[in-house]
Amino acid sequence: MNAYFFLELDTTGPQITLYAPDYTGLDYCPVRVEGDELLDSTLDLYVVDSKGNRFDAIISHYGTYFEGSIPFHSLAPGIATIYARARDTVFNQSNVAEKTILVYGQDEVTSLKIETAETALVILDKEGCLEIELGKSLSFIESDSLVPSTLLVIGTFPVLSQIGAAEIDARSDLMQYQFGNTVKLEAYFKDFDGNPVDPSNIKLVVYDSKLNVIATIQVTSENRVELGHYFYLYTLPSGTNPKVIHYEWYAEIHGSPTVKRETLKLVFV
Amino acid sequence: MIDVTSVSSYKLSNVNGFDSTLVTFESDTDITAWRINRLGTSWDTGEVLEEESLDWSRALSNSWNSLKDLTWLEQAYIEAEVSITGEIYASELQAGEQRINVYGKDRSGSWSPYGG
Repeated sequence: MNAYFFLELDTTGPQITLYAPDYTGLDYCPVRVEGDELLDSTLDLYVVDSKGNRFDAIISHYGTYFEGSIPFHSLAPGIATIYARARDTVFNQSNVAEKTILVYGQDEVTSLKIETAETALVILDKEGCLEIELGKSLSFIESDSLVPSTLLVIGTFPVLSQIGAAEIDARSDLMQYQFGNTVKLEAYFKDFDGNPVDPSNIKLVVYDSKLNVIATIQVTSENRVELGHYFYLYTLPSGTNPKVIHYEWYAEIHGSPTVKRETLKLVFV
Repeated sequence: MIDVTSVSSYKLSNVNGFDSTLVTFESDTDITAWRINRLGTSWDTGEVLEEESLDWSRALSNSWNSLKDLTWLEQAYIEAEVSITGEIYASELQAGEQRINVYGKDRSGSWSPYGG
């Protein structure tokens, strides 16, 4: 029984920080918006592409932060800017956070010909047990809505669409991996006609949940299985608290960069 | 003894819809007045946010018209364990967290103690 209570008057908005990669393909792009206090579930998040077109986006709310992937498939290649504004639980508006991001694609700015390249990813565990096999899904994707420039993303369409559509439950849909385990990451590189091709400057880049690069691995011919087929044995970071990491296959096919990302959830079992 | 039974929001702002909170409390004895203070350590210290007096003292500051529809009992005291609700506005507060104290005055004229 108390004859008193504590009451707070909060007249200042939260400070938010927006985390995103410096570049992306015409693909889903991981984004995290982090506040310095508990945030309301409403987030004003949008991207303005190089042609000035605005694309609104939704990502999942997790108390003090938002996290998810937003589609860049319809954006014009070039420099895009992501904007975010949140509010706290008593509706004080936050600052407007923004982040510029280079979108690869066919464009005079980047002089890329990404539409001629196609990346398919296969994720296998060390024992070779199939976890996600995106490459085999390629033949099942036929959508009239896909234009040639989106062919780059076909390889990961099934899984990424699952992540993007289930906004709230997205994290639970992610594959979960034990901290410290070694996973075998594989990539298949194909040209527009579906023929395997060996790209140059192949890199495997791993990001933490705030999109900080935690590993950049140059993939060489030692990691080549056959034409267009590469792998890398990556040891996941150690830890005990569940967290999300992103990894990226980067390569250049006929001189044009191509990027493909995927997200893993690390858990302590 | 006063017991705060519910507070609709423990955090306020100046944004419409979040700029006030409802405080519900009750007393285990009949009371003739209550007071909600910001800070302070007794009923007569701190800043008075809301108050109500049902004893004859309020007749001094109210016209008869405002009292004529009330019964003598209603004018005289609030029975024990009857819920009482007051409203606190953001405009009455200072930024940050602050302690809000609720006091009641029994029919003998004694105010409840700090914290209880």
